[in-house]
Amino acid sequence: MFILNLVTPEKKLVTDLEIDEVIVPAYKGQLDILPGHAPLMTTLSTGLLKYRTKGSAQFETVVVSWGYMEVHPDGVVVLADVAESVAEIDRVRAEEQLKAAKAGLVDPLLENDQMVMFQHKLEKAQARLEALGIHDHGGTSH
Amino acid sequence: MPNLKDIRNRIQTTKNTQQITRAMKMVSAAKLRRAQLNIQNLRPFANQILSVIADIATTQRVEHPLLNAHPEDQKVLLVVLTSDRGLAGGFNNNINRFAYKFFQDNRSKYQQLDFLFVGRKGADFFRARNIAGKETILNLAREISFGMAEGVASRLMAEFAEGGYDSVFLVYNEFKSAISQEVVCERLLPVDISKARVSSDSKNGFAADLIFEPEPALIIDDMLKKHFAVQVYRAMCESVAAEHGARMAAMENATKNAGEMIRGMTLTYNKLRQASITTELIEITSGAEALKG
Repeated sequence: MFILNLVTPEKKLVTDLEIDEVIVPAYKGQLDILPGHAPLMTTLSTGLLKYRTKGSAQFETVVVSWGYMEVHPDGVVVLADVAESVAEIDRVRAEEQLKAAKAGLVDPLLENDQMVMFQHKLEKAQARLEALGIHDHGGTSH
Repeated sequence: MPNLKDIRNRIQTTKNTQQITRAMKMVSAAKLRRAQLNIQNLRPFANQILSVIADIATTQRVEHPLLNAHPEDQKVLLVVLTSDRGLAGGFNNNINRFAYKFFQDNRSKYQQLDFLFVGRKGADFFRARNIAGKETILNLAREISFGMAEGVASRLMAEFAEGGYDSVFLVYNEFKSAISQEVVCERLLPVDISKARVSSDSKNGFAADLIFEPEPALIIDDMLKKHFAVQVYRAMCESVAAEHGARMAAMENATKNAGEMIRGMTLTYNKLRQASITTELIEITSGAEALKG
């Protein structure tokens, strides 16, 4: 029994689902968790979380932004600020957000916290598009 | 003596008002349902975060400025959470009166007591009493979201850090049921984890060889900020639910009162109408009698 729970402040995306494998965008780089993993506690960055339901060969993809994950012997608990399944993503909006974030980052008078905010937006938009299978090769401008 | 036309007009106006209050009641009822759902949805997230913070703080002995359990209240920031709109019965008034009393009672106790207002009604109330807030946060989006609450939370956090406050209190309406709210005053900062500690022992099976990535001190910093934002969000959800509940009750009453007024006025109207018919009949018959001679 290896259970996944994925919770955000606004909804419960995955509740007590039995899984075979979950890949998360951990603090530094991807992390692949299989049943029997050592107990672990980590923060998550913005990116794609993929999980495979028990017995299924296909990965489900969810975009998460800021999160926290706890692995214990019975399963995985993920808390995230934002979690969107692929079906929920609005492609046009994501592209607009990407453009807006890039435009914002070009501004030379940017304050530090604004910079962080725009970067965060950029990452989120990129993750959303990536989840849809569109890759952004434009790169960031700094 | 009012004439028939006046009364007819007044009845019509009251009917229009009644229609509006009834519509407002319906709208509030629908919004209340959604707001209640928000509170429910938040609960698992909030509980999990608090229990993790308590676990890390107790097992790893992490110190954090936001975790000071016994603050000496010298400089205090009071956050007053009201709504932007009125017509919600005693909703805003209860908050304002509570906050004002708090101010009068504690003014001499603390070295410094500042206000920060979220929502127009609180800011207006205190402006009329010549008390200016450190900051006023208005025009919250119609639909509250976690992202928005996080924005407010980070501003509060900045005030806490820069203003050198010892404590941040929040006054808001807690949602009890659709018809009752309760004004509560809560300490937001520093974070109090004593409640969570009891409930969370060993439920997560905290192993001694737990891997932390990054180190616990960094995780707890992140988690505390999140926890704070969650608290703000929760208070907002409660407040919004309470607001809609209060407005629903107020509008229900208004609709009932309007109904009573309409009944009373209709009665007067009919009496007057009958009286005028009777007078006319008397005039006609006495005229006929006179002609008969």
